[in-house]
Amino acid sequence: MRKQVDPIIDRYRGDRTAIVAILHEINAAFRYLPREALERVSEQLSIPLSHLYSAATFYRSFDLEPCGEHEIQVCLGTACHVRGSELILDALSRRLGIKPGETTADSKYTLKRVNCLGACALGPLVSIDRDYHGHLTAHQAERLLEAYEDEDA
Amino acid sequence: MIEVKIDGQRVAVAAGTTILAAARRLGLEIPTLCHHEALEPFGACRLCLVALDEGGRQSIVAACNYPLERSGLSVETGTPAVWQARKMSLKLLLARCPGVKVLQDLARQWRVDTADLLLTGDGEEECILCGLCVRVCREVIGKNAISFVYRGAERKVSTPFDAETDLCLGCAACAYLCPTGAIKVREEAGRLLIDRWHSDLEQALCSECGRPVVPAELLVQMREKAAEEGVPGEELLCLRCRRMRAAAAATALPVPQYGPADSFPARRSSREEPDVNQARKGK
Repeated sequence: MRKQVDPIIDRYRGDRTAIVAILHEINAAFRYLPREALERVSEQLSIPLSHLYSAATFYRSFDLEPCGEHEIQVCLGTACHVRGSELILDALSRRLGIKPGETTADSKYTLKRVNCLGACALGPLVSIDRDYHGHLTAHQAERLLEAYEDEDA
Repeated sequence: MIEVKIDGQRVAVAAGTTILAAARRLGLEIPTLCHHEALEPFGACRLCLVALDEGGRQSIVAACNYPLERSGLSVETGTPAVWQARKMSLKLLLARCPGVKVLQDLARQWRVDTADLLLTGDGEEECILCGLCVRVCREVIGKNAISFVYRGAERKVSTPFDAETDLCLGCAACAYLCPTGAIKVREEAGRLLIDRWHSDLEQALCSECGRPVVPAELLVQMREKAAEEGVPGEELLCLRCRRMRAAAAATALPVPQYGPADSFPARRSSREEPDVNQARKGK
């Protein structure tokens, strides 16, 4: 844990205002924020653990549970919502057998609902591991998953 | 120094003084729930709203954290608009915490109509998120055991990872300042429990009767601090044993003799403790 966390902290050494950047890097490295990592940051930068936990729970982009290999974000911003993104979320949720915010038992997928991905013209929009797929129907969204399943098979 | 007007009265204050502090200097009452003299202002409860006039520009601001920066500002603390805004704040607090007595009392006092109140939760919540507990733990106790976590409707005060933390000493300063009684401190089988923070602490015992008195780790840190300040460490006694000792020591002195009731000094303001020495002199 230290071996991975300390270099991240070192990069921002002394800069206590960089906690969001540090947490982002840790989240990317572990696919969530492990408790021990936050404790290490707290100890190294003399930032109270309660402050780190505050930030970690405030921002949607941090995870406190380990995420799956593929992160699926379904946009439920206003533009996507009015074009039926709720149906897409339901379809993916049903297919993966998990609720939004959960990770599949095989740790392959994490399904998230997000408030806006910032590409409203493409709505309804789903992003998988930062690849954006726009103008989707529920059926097309499910087909996207098939591509990932085939790839890993 | 700058000069401002509050409810028509002129007052000279240092630049940066909050409206609340300036108003209190004039003896004006402004309601607050999240304010404490010893802590940084926070502006959470919105009950201290007042009307500010900055040379014609009107606004409703929170008195507790609005700094008066220049002369000529004018504040009104009780206009209909101010009361309308305060009542709305109170209703929002009640929608979250309908069972909290201090809010119910204010609603009655202010004649706030709660018939159309829509609850935002299960009605059991007692925390109004005023942040006094978070601030006292950070600014006075210096432990940062608790903080605001999550956001929006899920926002609450909790310990890191919503779990027991060794940062909580069980000093209960949070419970002492909590305006709604949301933080419950209880004793069970000699241990001090603060359920909201998942704290379950061993207590140090009275050296006389063996009853639990104060969380053990808190005592250690208090003694360290006392030693730093050159205060000698005292034997740990519970309140009862301390009184017994004091009483035993006092029996060596003559018992004070009071005169007839009418010889007592005139009734003092209810805010002050009756002064026993004064009573003795009045004999």
